[in-house]
Amino acid sequence: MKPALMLISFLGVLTPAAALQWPMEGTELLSGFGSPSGPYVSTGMELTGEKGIVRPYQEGEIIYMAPSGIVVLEHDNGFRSCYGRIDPAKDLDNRSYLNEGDILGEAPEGLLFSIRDSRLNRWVNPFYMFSARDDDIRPEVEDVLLRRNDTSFPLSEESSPPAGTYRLLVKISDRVTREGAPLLPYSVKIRYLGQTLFALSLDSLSHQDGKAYFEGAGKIAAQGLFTPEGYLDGGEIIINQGKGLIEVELTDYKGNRTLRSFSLNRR
Amino acid sequence: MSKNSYLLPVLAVFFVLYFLLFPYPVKEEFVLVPERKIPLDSPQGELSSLSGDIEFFQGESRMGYYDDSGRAVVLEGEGRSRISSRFFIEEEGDVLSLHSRSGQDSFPIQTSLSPCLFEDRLLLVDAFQGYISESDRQGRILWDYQLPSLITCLDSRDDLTVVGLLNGEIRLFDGEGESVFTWSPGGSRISAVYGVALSPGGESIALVSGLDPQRFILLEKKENGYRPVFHENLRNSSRESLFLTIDSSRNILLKGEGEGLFYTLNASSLHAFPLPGSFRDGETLPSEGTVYFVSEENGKASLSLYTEGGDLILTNRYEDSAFSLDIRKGKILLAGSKDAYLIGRGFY
Repeated sequence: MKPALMLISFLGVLTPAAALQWPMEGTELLSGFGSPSGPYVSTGMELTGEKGIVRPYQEGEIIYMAPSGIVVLEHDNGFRSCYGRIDPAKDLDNRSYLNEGDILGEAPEGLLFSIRDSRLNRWVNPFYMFSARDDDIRPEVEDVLLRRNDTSFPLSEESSPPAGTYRLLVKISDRVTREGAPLLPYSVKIRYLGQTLFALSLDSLSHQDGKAYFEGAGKIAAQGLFTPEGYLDGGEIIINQGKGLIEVELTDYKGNRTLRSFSLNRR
Repeated sequence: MSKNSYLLPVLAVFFVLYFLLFPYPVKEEFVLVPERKIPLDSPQGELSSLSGDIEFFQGESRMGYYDDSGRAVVLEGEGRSRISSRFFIEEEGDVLSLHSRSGQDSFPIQTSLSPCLFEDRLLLVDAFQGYISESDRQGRILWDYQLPSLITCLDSRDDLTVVGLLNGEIRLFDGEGESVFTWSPGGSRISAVYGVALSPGGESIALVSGLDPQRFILLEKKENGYRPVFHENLRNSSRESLFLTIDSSRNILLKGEGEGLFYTLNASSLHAFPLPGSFRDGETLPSEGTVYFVSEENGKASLSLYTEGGDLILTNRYEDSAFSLDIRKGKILLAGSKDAYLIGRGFY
């Protein structure tokens, strides 16, 4: 497809989505899509908002309610939105359909929110569904390590690690506001000697045989992708003698981009 | 005196003698005998001793157990506690305490997941994230599985666990957490599973699926997995997880709207038993051929007893709401929001 046609198609997809509203006014994000959460990978995000009032992000039919505070709506486009940790509105028992602006309930402790594409049987990153938020903060590369057995070699702009085979570990974060919680950036690319070593984008999450996989820039197993210390495991890297360059490129949902380069002068 | 004039007194004497000498026994009437009312808001230890056979009870916000001396001990459960015939769980923050039946042994487990106790199996679940795991008493995860959708319902018998999902599929796990069977019923406008139950030994799986219509489906174990052997559209559609259980004789009980629904393997049909109010709980006694239901109307509960054939034996009403029902060793325990009732059964 020609680039111009691709752009038109892309805007065509984005335009109706951009009109959708967050389920809470004045939304602050506490955790993001795909973040490791204990033993599993989060299929949605955690939000707080002014007054704690929750509204459906789009009109839809109530198809499930649980006493544990879960409400699920089915929408015309084949998507289902799931709201967790919610005190449902009193009249919800007698209603089967909610319009935009109707009150779904309250979530004073913070709302769990996720969107599922029933046709593709995948969880979708909710960031795609909503009007863009003001965000001029670039994602951050906090730390980069080479790890072999139990030994770690932190990388600075110029490093001289011993030659050998390592795991490349990267600590990354992205904030929507200065005070906001650290989230995962939308995309991560790691290049070594100009070749892509690792590429991840958080478009959607699928499940197979009890494991979660990020779908986007390829299919990447989500379990084990992060170390217990919160480093992203960028995979195996073989460091030979001579000069080399590792590049870590992060992009957030608003398009803010960070590129960090680490020169290697290998012994 | 004519011959006829003697006949009437002779016949009368004959009938009187007949009824006196050969009395026809009146059929015994089944009755429920209230034995004890246990106030659930009493402080721990203030309750009088009980020597019943029932070990545990559970109300909406309180639960308890009978210790070795027969004393009832009431615990605050805050509605999140779980109970089985062998263990019960208390929750405080992220710490679960798994107690043995005597209340003496306690196993603390640190987790933010919701516990589901099935006899001595402890499943830890995050329904929203579609995550299920099994833990031992030390809190070690024996197996775990991240499912492709929200968990709406689950049941576990022997070493099998079946999970119902909001994407419309059921999934069966063996004792090692291997997914051994998956099935998605169709036929409804909205695909979802609202109730699932396993029979002892895993011979049958019952489920309620879909909206428009909502369907009851029974699967039976065949050579290669399970096959549907019965299905029926339900009159009402529930958007919440439904009460659904299978007893040792593979009779099935499920919640209807203002009625209890009962399926017997022999009749291969689903019968509706009308109830006063909304269905709250139910239990079958296959050895006696009876079915018990608890329903609630205007904040007051009723206990209804039916034969498996659908004949109403009795209905008792109570001045309390939110009852749960437990029948063990001949005793009935009703636990409500304020009181628990220990009820014996007999014939009058």
